[in-house]
Amino acid sequence: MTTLLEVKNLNAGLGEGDYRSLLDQINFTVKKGEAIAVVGESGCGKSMTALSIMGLLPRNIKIKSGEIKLEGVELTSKSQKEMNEIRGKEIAMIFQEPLTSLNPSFTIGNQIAEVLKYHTDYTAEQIKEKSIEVLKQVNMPDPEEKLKAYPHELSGGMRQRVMIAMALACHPKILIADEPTTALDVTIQAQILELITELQNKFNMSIIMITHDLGVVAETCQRAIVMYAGQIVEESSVEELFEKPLHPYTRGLMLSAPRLGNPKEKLHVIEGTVPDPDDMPKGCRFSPRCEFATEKCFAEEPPLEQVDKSRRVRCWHKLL
Amino acid sequence: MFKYIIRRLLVAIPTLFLTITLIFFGLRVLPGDPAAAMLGDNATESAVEALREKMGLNEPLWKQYVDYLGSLLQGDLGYSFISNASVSSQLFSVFPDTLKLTLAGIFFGCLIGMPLGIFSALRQNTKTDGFLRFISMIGVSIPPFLLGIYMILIFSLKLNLFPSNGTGQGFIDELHHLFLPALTIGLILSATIMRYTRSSMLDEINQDYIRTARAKGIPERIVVYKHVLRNTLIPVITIIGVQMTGLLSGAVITEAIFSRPGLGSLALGAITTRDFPVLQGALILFSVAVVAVNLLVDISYSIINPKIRAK
Amino acid sequence: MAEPAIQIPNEQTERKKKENVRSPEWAAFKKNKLGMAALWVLIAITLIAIAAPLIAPYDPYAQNVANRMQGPSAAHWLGTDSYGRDTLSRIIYGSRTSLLVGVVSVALSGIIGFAAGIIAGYKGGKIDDVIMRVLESIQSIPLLLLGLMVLVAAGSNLVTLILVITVGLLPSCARIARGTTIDIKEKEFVKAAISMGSSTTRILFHHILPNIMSSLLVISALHMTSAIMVEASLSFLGIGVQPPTPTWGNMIQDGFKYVTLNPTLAVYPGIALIIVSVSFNLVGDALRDALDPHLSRKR
Repeated sequence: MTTLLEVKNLNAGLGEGDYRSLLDQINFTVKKGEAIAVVGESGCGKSMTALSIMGLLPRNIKIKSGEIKLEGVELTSKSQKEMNEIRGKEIAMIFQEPLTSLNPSFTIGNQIAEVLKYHTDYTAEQIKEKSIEVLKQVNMPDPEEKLKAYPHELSGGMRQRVMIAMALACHPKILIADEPTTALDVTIQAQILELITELQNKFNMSIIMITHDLGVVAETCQRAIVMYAGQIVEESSVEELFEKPLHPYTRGLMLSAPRLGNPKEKLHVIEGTVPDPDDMPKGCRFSPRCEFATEKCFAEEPPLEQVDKSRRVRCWHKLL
Repeated sequence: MFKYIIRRLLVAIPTLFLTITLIFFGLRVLPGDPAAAMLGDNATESAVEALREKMGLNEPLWKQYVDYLGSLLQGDLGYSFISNASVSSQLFSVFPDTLKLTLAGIFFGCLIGMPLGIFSALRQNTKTDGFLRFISMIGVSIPPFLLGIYMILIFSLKLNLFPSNGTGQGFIDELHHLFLPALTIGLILSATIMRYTRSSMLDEINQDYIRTARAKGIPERIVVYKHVLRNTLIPVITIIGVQMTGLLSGAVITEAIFSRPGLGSLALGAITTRDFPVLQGALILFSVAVVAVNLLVDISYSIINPKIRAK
Repeated sequence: MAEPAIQIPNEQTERKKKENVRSPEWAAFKKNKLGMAALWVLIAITLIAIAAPLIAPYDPYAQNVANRMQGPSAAHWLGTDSYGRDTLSRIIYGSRTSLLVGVVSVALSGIIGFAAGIIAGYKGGKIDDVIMRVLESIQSIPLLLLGLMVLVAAGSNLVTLILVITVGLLPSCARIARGTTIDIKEKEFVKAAISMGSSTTRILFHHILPNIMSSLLVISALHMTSAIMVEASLSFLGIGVQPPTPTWGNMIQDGFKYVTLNPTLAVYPGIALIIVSVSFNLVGDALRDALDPHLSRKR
């Protein structure tokens, strides 16, 4: 499989003078047709990573250094105008809140047509046909009728289907899905994930699935990146990760996920919260919450170490 | 949609009824005898009494009230104590002047306020933004009469560009006369509109669907003009409704300063001559205008905004 | 060995907490330079108003016809009016009227309006409907005309003037109090308190009042501007505070009469009026930003 997206030594943060790091040395690649997961608690930098790739970081957050290459083409140096050629066409993104992610003032048809209008030279007729086609692809009932509907007339699951349809309209190479099912009912969650996987295979598309839910990871992805406090702490194939997490944080995440068939089991809780970028711990960023932490952990930051061909981990005391 | 209008009307009617009642009793319960006031200090008691009788002021209050409501329903606002002319004809003869002034004021208010608000929001937290916000702060803190006087001082007396009183003859001359008073009202309104547009726009820029629009890779120009502006300006029109009372107060005093005919001048004149029917009629017309504009704004808001329509 | 790990973050959070205990709102307010400047201006003007007899260079009522309509000079910094009275002294004394009318009517409308709003919001139903309809009616009459109507009918005096402005400011106070009360009433912890039989007074004093106080503070500052502006407008129309008592409004009216002879007569009291009303608005805005961080992002 060829490498499609490469993120290299990406650093991003707040402000210029008293710079506060939000992303620290982010390195990873996405291969063609592969689905990778970016996992972690909220505030650990998952969404920030996605927005850096999209070139949509909030105004006060800047990329300080590093590269983001799509098929070898550098994205960080592109202007917003040039990025508009990439966004929606090469890389598409769907968001967590289908309720607020669609503009309430315009019809579904209008919002889907927009993508096609600015990325293809279709005529109005072709745009309409294509819109119906993509709505069919996301299994939307009565696609023709739905074009005239306003977002508030659809359910949450339907709206997320519209978001996916919009994202897929131009057959992007990568789909970034930022917590796509978090806001949905459990039964709908499964349907949406199934749909994403189905479309991934159909179009041989790569997926970056951002989630805090390990169930989603297991269901949809082949590889996973675990992030903590703006750093990658572990990378592994999903299988190996579930079999044997190497980083105490990953282990904690797994133990804290509820499992079926064992209702009496007491859930594990990772004490404390993700540190504030204003007062990062001196050594390992996870050390204050880590049950295995030693003096070395408080003093020195561990490097992201290559364990074997496809595994990396950032820890002084790997759980081997 | 139809149901919504009916429901809004059903709320507006009792408010209007209550307002008319408040105005009616407000004018009568308060001390002061219109008959005595009309005849002046030297009038004999019997002359005042005769006038009271003639004006119907000796009837029990509730009967005056019922009579007034009855004739109001037939569109009869009574007759002026002073000129004996019908109040409604007097009101309607000057109504267009006030309407022109108010509409021109709203026009200037939007023309100046909306672009500045958008501009300020797009440069949030810069020096330009700070400066514009400070200017708008002065705008909302300056009473219309004072701004009117300053306008006359600068543009009429110093620069001699615009006339300071009257309405003028013929279209061009009328516009020339209308400019300063309308700008006075418009500048004050524009400060509020600017502040509101700015905060509405900032609200809008941070919406999830704006991020979606950007993620679709459509040009920034389209994101701003189509997705941001539409949802920004819709709520801004509602403040024209909210500002209506302020706008009318501004029109009243602006008419006085620029010596223009209109409802304001009529009401001010009626106050000094204690011409109750005219004052009453003018006040009722003002409150009808306020209620009606708010109703219109609400209804048009619901037409433009599909979300409200659904509720 | 794990002990230091627990202590490091704790120390830091402790320090943060201590900083926060000393009123984070006040700290946020102090950061707002314009708001602070405006607050100092208002403090200075209040002191000037209180100490007017000590500060004013002349008796504001002392006429000197020989000296009338003079421009600024060393003896009369801001010149003299049509009766030869010292403009600066009259502006200084005028601040007393403006502030008095403002403070009293804002305080009255705040107390009555908030009480009415809390009752309407808390009780709901018919009481709410009646209160809201009455307030809507008041709001549909322009405050200026309402003032004119009442003052002409009842005669111009300070008490009536204050009462009229109070009535005019009532509706917005009541609306804010009502909205906040309804919001808080719907909150889970208040619902729980109600369901567990907490008394109405307890809910009022423990949950609703503390939450409403900040809105009261903000709206009071903003209403000071409105009150002062309406007083000036009515006095300008010759129907508010009567001459010879100096107020900025009737000084501007007097100046406007002679605008062709000496335009500055209308300009100086106008500037004083603008400084005070801008200051109150700035303080109100800064207060809102400091008390409601959610809103401040937008402002």
